[in-house]
Amino acid sequence: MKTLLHVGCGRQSTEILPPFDFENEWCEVRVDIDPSVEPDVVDDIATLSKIPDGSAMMVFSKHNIEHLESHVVPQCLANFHRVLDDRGFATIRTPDLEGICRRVIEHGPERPLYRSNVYGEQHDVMALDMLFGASWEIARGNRFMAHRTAFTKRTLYRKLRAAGFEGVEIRTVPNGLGLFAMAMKKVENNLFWEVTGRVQNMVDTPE
Amino acid sequence: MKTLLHVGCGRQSKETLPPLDFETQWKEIRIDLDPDVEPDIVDDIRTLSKVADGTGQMLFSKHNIEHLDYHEVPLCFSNFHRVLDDTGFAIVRTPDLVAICRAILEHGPETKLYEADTLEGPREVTGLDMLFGASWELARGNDFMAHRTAFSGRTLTEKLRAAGFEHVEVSSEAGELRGFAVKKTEGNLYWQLSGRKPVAT
Repeated sequence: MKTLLHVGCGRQSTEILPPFDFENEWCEVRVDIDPSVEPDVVDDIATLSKIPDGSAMMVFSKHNIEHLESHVVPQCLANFHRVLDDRGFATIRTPDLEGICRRVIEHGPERPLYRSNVYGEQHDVMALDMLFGASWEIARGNRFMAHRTAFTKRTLYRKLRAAGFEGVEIRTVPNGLGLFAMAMKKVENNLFWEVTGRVQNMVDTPE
Repeated sequence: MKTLLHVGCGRQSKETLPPLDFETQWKEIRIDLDPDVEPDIVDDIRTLSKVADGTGQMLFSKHNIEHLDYHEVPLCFSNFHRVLDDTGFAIVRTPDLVAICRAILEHGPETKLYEADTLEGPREVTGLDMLFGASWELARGNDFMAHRTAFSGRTLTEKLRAAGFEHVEVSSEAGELRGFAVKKTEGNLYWQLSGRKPVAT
């Protein structure tokens, strides 16, 4: 079995993961700092202190690196790199700071940009929510939800490369408000090529 | 003597205040949550629970409302309003989110935008520092310094108006919003001190 490390999983369901065969081939290990979300491992994503080196084939991080303080980000990404097998890769989603800035300038910080439907609750999402974290969660005392930093395509690319990832690709998601990064520990023979069926060829590097 | 309530004063010196006559006319009362900065009153700027209604003729708030959570801002502004005398007004200074966004789009979030003088010497300030708080303070665990919300000229104006201020003026200067919020337009001290012509009520 290959291990998919779902870091900062919160209450995210397995449905948001890639469509892998979780019966026979892959095993999800859920990691979160908050025991109340019942993760498999209670751990800080910045250190992953309970996760051995090279133990995962994939690290899946959706909307959590923006919850770190800026100075903690390099350490966190270095630990994503550390816990991956040489053939492994990470996918990282985080808000696109440039997209948010454009919306703030165009529409103002508090105009609803879209409606989110999370865990059965609907909320209007403002640019401020994307910058500083979901205001409705923070209003009920969920401090874990506060955002402490943000990234552009270029800064995320540089930080992933600085953490040791050999191959990094970053796309802007279609609504222009999110970044989707794929970071390979080693490019040669990476599992990423196999699971995506792509020819080994890096594209779209922002430098 | 008139009272100036210096809320969230931190280690800000009198020099940051407007040039008033603090010898014979005005008295500064320093208010902060952090006892380490030795304020006159240890209190939370959101509630100002130890400050009686109508105490101040001026309230001065420089770079503290961005440290509140989004949902706490209306409560804070309504207490700014409450502690002012009817002739009083508030000066509210906070980063201009729209200006920060423009700077980030032009220069990137981690490029030095200017140099700040701190008690420990000059520090490079980036767009991220302006959005989320001074990274050098946060890196040593000074969580008071984290920014948790931000304002445009328009949202600051709307929130001050919603808190009951009758007249609000906000301008943007060097990446900072400067808001003047007048409790009652009629007979307000603001007109006298600023030399501005009172607006019609």
